[in-house]
Amino acid sequence: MNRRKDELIQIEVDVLAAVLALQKRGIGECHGFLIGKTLETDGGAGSLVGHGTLYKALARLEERQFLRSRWEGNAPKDRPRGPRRRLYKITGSGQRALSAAIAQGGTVGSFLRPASS
Amino acid sequence: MSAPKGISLGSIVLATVLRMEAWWLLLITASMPMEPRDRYREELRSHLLDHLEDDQVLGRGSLKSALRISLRFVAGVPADIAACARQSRLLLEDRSKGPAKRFVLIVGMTLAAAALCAIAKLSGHPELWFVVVGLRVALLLGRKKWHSVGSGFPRPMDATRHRPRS
Repeated sequence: MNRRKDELIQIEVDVLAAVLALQKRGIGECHGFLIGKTLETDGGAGSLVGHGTLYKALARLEERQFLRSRWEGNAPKDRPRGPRRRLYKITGSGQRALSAAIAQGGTVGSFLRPASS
Repeated sequence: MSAPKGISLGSIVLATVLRMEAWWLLLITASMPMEPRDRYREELRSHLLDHLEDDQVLGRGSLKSALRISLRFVAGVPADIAACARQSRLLLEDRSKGPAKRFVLIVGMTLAAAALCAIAKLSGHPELWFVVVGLRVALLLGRKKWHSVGSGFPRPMDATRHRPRS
């Protein structure tokens, strides 16, 4: 089943809204755990997202160029060794797609709703 | 049976949950091409580490951490299985599959058959052998009937469908 180019499913809307909300809070690039945590805390009840679901949504959004990502550059002080984090950033087309999804009746958690101002 | 002194029940449960998650991750990413597989594995390991660190900062105990991680694990399993099924279907229907893909397919089917045989042996239900044979036949018969679907993985994971441009 093919989707329209700009069509988003609910988890993708939630993820984009979470990344945008974090960006508005001053976190320009965020990793998967932070996005998942934001979905959980700000997305309201019933926003339990499985790891696989979250990362596949992130991968799809990146493939459609709604998100951009890169590996964390230098090892952070809190984790000098161990696996690296992948940092995500919403793109202009991602913001437009999110606005369009919300305008078409897509729902996002109350705290995730991007400020209209 | 009680846990030895110095090791809490919570830490044992947490270690078990983490091991389970690690094995699941290895299993569901086994058939992916190397680049997306390594990325996916590293991201999920990093995610789990962040999860543990966050729980520690918030003062959550090991048992609570284990419960939270396993809840997400269970929530994600259906999506993981669906994605793996799509990926396997892509492997099966790809007419230009090479020896590596065929190898992954054969290993996957062998593992599934071995698991069923082990279950049959342990549960004392030898009739499960027929399920193994039936599965194999169904796979072979259904091979040509399956239609193309998107995998849900980013493009590199769909590399099995990629044909070089001439």
